[in-house]
Amino acid sequence: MITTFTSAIGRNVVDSATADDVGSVKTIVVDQEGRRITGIQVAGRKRHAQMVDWGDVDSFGEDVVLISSKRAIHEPVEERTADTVKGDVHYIGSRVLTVDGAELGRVKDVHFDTDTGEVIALMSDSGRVEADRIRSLGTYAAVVES
Amino acid sequence: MRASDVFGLPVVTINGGDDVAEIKDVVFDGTNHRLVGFTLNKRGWFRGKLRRQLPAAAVVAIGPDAVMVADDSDLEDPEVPLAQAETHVVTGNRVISADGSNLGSVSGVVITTGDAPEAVGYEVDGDDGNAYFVPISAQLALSDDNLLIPESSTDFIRNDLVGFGAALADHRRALDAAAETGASESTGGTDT
Repeated sequence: MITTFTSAIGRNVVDSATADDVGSVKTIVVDQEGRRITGIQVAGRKRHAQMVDWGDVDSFGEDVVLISSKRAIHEPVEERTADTVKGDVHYIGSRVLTVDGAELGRVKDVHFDTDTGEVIALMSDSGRVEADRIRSLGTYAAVVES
Repeated sequence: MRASDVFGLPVVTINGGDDVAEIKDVVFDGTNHRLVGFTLNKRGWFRGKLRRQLPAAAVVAIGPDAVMVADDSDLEDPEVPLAQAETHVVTGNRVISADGSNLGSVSGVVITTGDAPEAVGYEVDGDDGNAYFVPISAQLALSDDNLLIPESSTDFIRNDLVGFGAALADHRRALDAAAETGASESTGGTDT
């Protein structure tokens, strides 16, 4: 199923083995190429950031995100994940910059496939950008083919 | 665009989406009328000179909002830092036309914005109060004091940048045609 980042954020995260509530989706981590979700940050009672790798997400449902186990939750290890948690790398609100060096506004939303975690398209101020045009997502901008 | 329009633009990596530097100044080889590259400043709150430089050949595109490079590794840490002074060798020089009249003084360099940007013209602050754009060609003679415009380029001087773009293309064609005529004349000479 295809859903959007803005609607995915805030969904409840549940441990599929014990049926316990773990928290809710806080941020979504995307790889440097900007094409694939690598994990989610869960907002819960813990003070430090709680991450779940995409591989431990059993089902990204319409209402609830089921994860394999509470034990899959870990602190951010990769630099990129840490950057995302800090807010340095974030699709929503990020500049869209063409490979020609022209700005196309900001990212308003991202469509993704809940089965594969693949990004389908960006919704920007100047329209839809298909995933095959995305070159990278970094601290400054989402770089896209013009 | 004017080389000075690039100052302050962020340098962004296409493969990373990160702003790795910002353009401080152009490095221009006045002797050969060639754009060498750019000196850089750091990004962020603690701006300061970056030792690394950006060679013109590594630039993928210069846009209105950013200078694009493929990768962070495209910034060079030069063994011999390009002399900052080189950028200013040309500016201020008197510009003299082929008929021996003073046109004005050089105020800037015009560069292309695409892949591996080049210097294509000089901006001249005219004595008559107008701005002029002079196409760069191998025939331009440059000393420490003067820039002498050859007759072949005189017709292609423009007052505005937009018109200058078209004039440049015409200028190149005219130079190519002149080169071809020269070649066919010499071929004709060997035939007889």
